[in-house]
Amino acid sequence: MLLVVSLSLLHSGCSPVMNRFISRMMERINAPIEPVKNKIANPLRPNIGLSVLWVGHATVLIQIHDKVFITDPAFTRTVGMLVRRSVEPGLDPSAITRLDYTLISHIHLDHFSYGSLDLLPKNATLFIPVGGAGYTPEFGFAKTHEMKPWEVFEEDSLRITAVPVQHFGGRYGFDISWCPNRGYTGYVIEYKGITVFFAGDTGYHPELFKEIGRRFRIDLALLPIAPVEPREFMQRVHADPKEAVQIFEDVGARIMIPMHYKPFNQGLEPGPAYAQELLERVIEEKGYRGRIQILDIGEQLVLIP
Amino acid sequence: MLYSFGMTRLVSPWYAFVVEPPARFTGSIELVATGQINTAKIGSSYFAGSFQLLGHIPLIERGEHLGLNLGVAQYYYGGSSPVYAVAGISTLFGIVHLNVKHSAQPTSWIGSLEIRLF
Repeated sequence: MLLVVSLSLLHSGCSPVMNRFISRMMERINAPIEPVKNKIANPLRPNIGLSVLWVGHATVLIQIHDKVFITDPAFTRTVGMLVRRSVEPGLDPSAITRLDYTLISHIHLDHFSYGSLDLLPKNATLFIPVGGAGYTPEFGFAKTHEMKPWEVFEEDSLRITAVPVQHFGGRYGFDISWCPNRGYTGYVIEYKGITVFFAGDTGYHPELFKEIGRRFRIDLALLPIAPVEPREFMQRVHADPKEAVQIFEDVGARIMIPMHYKPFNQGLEPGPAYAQELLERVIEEKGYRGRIQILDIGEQLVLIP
Repeated sequence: MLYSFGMTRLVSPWYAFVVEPPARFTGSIELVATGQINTAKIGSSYFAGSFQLLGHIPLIERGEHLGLNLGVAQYYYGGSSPVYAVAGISTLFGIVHLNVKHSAQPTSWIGSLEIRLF
């Protein structure tokens, strides 16, 4: 009831674009959650070079040799109470029996889900962007590091570098002005000769990504491709599929896996498959089939056996 | 003034005047003092005030979805200073607080809907 009253108040006082977002959100509030068939029960493998399991949205379980990483874990039915999941998570969090590093790209509700972090093993190290500590509860992780752009964390021949991306700060909207130019980051993971770039959530910026490409030899880029519409509203902070492919080219990665689409209805896309269809068109145009791998939610890809 | 016991140790647990919402809803104790000057006398004075000591206990999603408020408040107006027990909930990212206050002597109830952004 309170939620409906609050949404109605928001609805009455917002810009036309925001009104359309809230209308879309309210239409889907009772929509069913699509199940994921054949979920992988044991995603961690004893002898592996590089594997990637897309859990959905920006949540990716990455294994590089003996190290296990998860990015922006989201396993809850809603993000931020209001935005409902349309597809269930592609992995049961209890299947993650070991975790070494949890990477949070920024503090928005769909990337920094308190309820989801509570479901994960606590022996991991948690990474948050600079400006995020004021939004970080004590989850009980072994260590927590707040990372500035270009800051490097090193441990056991592993290097994690926080790299700048183009997004925006805050968590609840009204707090954007408290942290306009901080609270968001990408990460580059380097371990045993394998380099993975996780962009989190970003708009396209030619200089930033070319600089990342100059500094690293990236094997795999995990890049956001949505929300797309309305483009004039999203463009500065969210790359569309064409811009994501441009980022892929700028950083010079060998392989790209798209993310940040599907399970949470974001933006004003005409349909849930919209971003993926746009990406498939760009892949055809540029001849990138094989280099850009589209995963299903819950699918695990072994890139380096 | 607020002491937060639910936040990472990377930040100070002490807050004054401005509180980032998670510091409150993840678990905290806050002391709020208010003073007011009325345009008409209440009893023999234009002045009134209150002290409130309130604990915020997280219930769902670290308190971001739902939290419990429990505490005591003392009001000063018109020569009286009743003590109230306070109980309520907070929701919607700690922004919306619904509280009920009860005083036994004199018997009185106060209900409040509070919007707290910081």
